[in-house]
Amino acid sequence: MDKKECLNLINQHFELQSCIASLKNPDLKLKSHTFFYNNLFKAVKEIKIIRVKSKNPKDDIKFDIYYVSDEFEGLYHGYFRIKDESDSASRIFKTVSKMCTDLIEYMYYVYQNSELLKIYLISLDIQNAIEQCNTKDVDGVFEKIKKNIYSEIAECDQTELECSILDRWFNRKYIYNFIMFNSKCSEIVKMFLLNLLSPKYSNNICMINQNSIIKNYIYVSSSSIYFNGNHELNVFSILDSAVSLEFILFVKFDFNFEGGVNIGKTVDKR
Amino acid sequence: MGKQLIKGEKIDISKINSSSNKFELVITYKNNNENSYDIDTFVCVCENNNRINKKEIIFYNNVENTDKSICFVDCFTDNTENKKTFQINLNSANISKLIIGYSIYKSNLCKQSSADITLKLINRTLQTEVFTMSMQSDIINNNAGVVGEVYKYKDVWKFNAIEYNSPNDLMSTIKTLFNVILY
Repeated sequence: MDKKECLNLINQHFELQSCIASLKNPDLKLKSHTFFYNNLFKAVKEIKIIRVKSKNPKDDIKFDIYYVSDEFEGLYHGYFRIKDESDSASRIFKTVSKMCTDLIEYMYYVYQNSELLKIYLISLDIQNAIEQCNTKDVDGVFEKIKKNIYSEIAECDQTELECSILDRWFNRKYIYNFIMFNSKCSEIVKMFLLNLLSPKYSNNICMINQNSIIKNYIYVSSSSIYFNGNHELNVFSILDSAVSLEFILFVKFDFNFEGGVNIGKTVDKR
Repeated sequence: MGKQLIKGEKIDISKINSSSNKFELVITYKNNNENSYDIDTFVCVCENNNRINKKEIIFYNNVENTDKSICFVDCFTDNTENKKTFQINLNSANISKLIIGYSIYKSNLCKQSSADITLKLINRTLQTEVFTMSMQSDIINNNAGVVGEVYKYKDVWKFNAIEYNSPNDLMSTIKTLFNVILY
């Protein structure tokens, strides 16, 4: 299923209600940087703009879309935050990012990454979809990650640890440099960086350098993100678990130096 | 007290293969304890054929190169002065030239308009200061700069004070100035 078909299917089974008087007939084609009201909402930190709910009230899938008026050069000019408002919605969004800049791209990404939404859009019965979905308990996995991270820190030599960790005061700068020095980031990486910048995770994130001795970390390149070489483990779930289980997550950036303004241009001799 | 270098000036820093080719390159600047502005320093190791291996770009995220001949140390000397040190062993076979540059980070909350940057080269074996270089960078209009280069000339290592400010990013600036290829 392509993006357009996915959007049609979502529009078929979900209804959108505007939460602000001036936004008439809202749709899922909104992009935060071209959002008509972004200048109007500049003074407001965050505003609920759309309520999305399943057309079948029995399924009780409800979530809200907020517009957050923050800016970060090279990454976003305002962004959308998704907040689940019912149990079934919370199950749908459990393993995906809850922040985005482009709603069509986002809904397609959720469709691809949320098994529950995929099954629901075919069966149109959320209870049946929940039963069919692989609901194995992953909380134990996150507890184990926390334990591994903390036992690794405990075993580290203090000086080596200090040499590995980057100053958290400058997390925004590290993300900015990663965007500026590297080739264009994939949508999933952009979404991940957006999450890293949000205040929700800022206390649970610590950047480390490439030469770091720490082995339990989230690797971020321009094209991919994964934890400990495991591409199956969902990084957005790990971020959420870092907040709920209160642990520090290490993040390592890979610089490819393929960004910049002169890429592809001929270089002149001195 | 070493010599005070000015833009365009060149200085002999050591003989090639001398036993005293261990240096400390110290770059200092003030940032008034703000996190809305910062300077990141980079040392790029150039090979003979004017190529730079990306793994040989030393900065906060890659604190040492493959043969460990260059190490980066970041520290604060007091609340406002920021000091970045590169420990360099020029006897490494892989070094043909070193390009020393910096990139400027400024958030939209940045109130600073310029930065005073000082570079010092200290001979670690002899514990002597070889030279000092001071430059001012307009951080409103620039995004990067090249401080200088260390290069081989006949049987000596020389330093060339370039002092070039650029509105472009650092790697594009280095590519344009030195005609190097990154791989």
